[in-house]
Amino acid sequence: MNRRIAIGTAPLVLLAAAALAAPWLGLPDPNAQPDGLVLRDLPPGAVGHAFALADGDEVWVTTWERLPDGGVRYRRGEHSAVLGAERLAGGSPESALRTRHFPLGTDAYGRDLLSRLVWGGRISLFVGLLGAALALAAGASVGLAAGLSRGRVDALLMRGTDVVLAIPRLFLALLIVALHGASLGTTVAVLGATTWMAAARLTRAEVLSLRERGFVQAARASGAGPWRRAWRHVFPGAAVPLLVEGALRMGDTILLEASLSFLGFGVPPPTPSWGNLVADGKDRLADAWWIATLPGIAVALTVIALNLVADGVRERLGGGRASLLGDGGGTA
Amino acid sequence: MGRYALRRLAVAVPLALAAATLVFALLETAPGSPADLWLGDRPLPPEVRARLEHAYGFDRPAPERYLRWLEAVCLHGELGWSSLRSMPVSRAIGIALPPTLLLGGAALLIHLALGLALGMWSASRRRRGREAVSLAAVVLYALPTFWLGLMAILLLAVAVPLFPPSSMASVGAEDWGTLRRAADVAWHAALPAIVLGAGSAAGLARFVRSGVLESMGQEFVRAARARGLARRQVLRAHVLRTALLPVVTLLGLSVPVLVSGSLVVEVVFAWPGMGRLTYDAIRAHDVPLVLGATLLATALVVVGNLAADLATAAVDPRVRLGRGAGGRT
Repeated sequence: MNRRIAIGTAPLVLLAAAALAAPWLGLPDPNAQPDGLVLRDLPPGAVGHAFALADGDEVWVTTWERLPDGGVRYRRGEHSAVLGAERLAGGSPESALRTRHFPLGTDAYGRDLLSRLVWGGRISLFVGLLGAALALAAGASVGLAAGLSRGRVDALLMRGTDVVLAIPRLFLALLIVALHGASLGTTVAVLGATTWMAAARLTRAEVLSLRERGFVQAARASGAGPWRRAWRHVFPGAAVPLLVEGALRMGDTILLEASLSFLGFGVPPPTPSWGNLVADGKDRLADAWWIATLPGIAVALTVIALNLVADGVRERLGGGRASLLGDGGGTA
Repeated sequence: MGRYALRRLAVAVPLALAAATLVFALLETAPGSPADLWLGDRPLPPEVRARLEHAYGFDRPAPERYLRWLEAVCLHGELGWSSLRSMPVSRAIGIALPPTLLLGGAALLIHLALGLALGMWSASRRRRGREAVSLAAVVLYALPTFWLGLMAILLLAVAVPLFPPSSMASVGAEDWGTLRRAADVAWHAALPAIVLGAGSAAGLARFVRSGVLESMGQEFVRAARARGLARRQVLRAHVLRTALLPVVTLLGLSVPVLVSGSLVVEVVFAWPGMGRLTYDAIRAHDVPLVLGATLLATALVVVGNLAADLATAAVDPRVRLGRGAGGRT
């Protein structure tokens, strides 16, 4: 096994498994705000305390002390009060005390950040995967059509690709969002619509070189029609480079989704996505640095892992574009 | 050179026009009537609205509206009315463009200087340096620009207050002398420009490195060494000149990256430029302003590519004489 594939696959599998299994990991609801006062901006590793009440409610407390009569004196922010033993569930502080761990801390609304990071990864990875698949399908179709038809159709399609490339990606994406409104569906469509061009150029180049090869010529000589030649002979030859492109593209779409969501034009809140999480933390840098820091690292880890895998696959199976990691020559 | 420039121009102008057409086509996909897009949701009496719709031709068929729009944009620079800024879009953009050009120019310089330095260093280091630069390139690429900006603020403006966290000038700077004001702007621009420029510098370094390594293996380098030139001299006069050719083209290619990146960086650092304006415009549903900004950003990319092509041709006779080569892809 190639070293790069191994190093890159491990975090990807871990992240994907966490994202897929999010509902069954026993994590709290990522959007639940049990107590916006006591639980806000807790640092990583913090522990929250609450008392369950006999009437089924619960009270989150900042600090508490036991009273001689079996009751509890607690403080919530500036405010302090007393709970008699009879109001506590089970009749004593021990039986009523609930503790909850916040391994990555909480945000300004007291939401659990570990849960939001995992559920956010579920959204970000899913949206990125769909966007990349869309880009790959669209790009491969355009490239295949251009490479096989040559002549005028080819020129038209490739100039069209140049035109889309001339509009800076983020501006194009934001214009589409401005016209159609931000939603999960718009985000996926925007990701596909703004990242297919590299796949189109790559596919066309592959097709142009493949169609001159012996086995395609032989298929032609034995009477295979253009569709059959394209599907059975040319397309499989371009599969590996496309696979590599797909991995690189997914890194791209994840980054773009994060940027869009960070700006507030991607996945609409309160649905967590990695970009949304950074946005949540951007105004709280001075007080709660962890809110914005961790999701950014999650994005970077994913993108680095995808690049490693793409590079490893390219190295092992041959073909495809070098990622930034590769030792490829000076072609962009 | 003149003929080459004309040829490139003959590609660039239709490209810009086609991009504008694509943008117009995108507008047509939006729900609602064109009048809704251009007039916004301002409360207008129905008869006033109807008169405006007629006066501006919003009730005409799409092809006619397209031609009128193209004429207004291309011949008169007329981009519509910004409801957000209560002024013509062209004026709003005119105010926001200089800060963006300043920031983008500074970022481009940092991008270039850092890319060259890193690339040349790693070319002289062989394997270790190569791996270090590759790693730096992929890590810098993978870290979201907005996140890098926030971290820069957190570390260099909040934890260690060396730089201001946002905006373009200090409070009360209007009363200062020119020199002090310029220094103040430079101080404010430092963090955003570094974030914007450094993010992609490692990518550039890779190309510089492979360019240097490639040209070091060439015949003319060995010939120069054989003539007794010092290694350093060969590097400067022969290797670098050939290695830097593709870098010029690459700088043109990094313009769209910088333009898109500046949008995010300007929002993070509250820099009063085009990116910030676009962001505000989308939030306020000011479609004409978003449109104008997109067209301008596209124009910047087309002009950047054209400038890079012409600069490459100016230093490399092979390109302008149409014999290919010269690292252009």
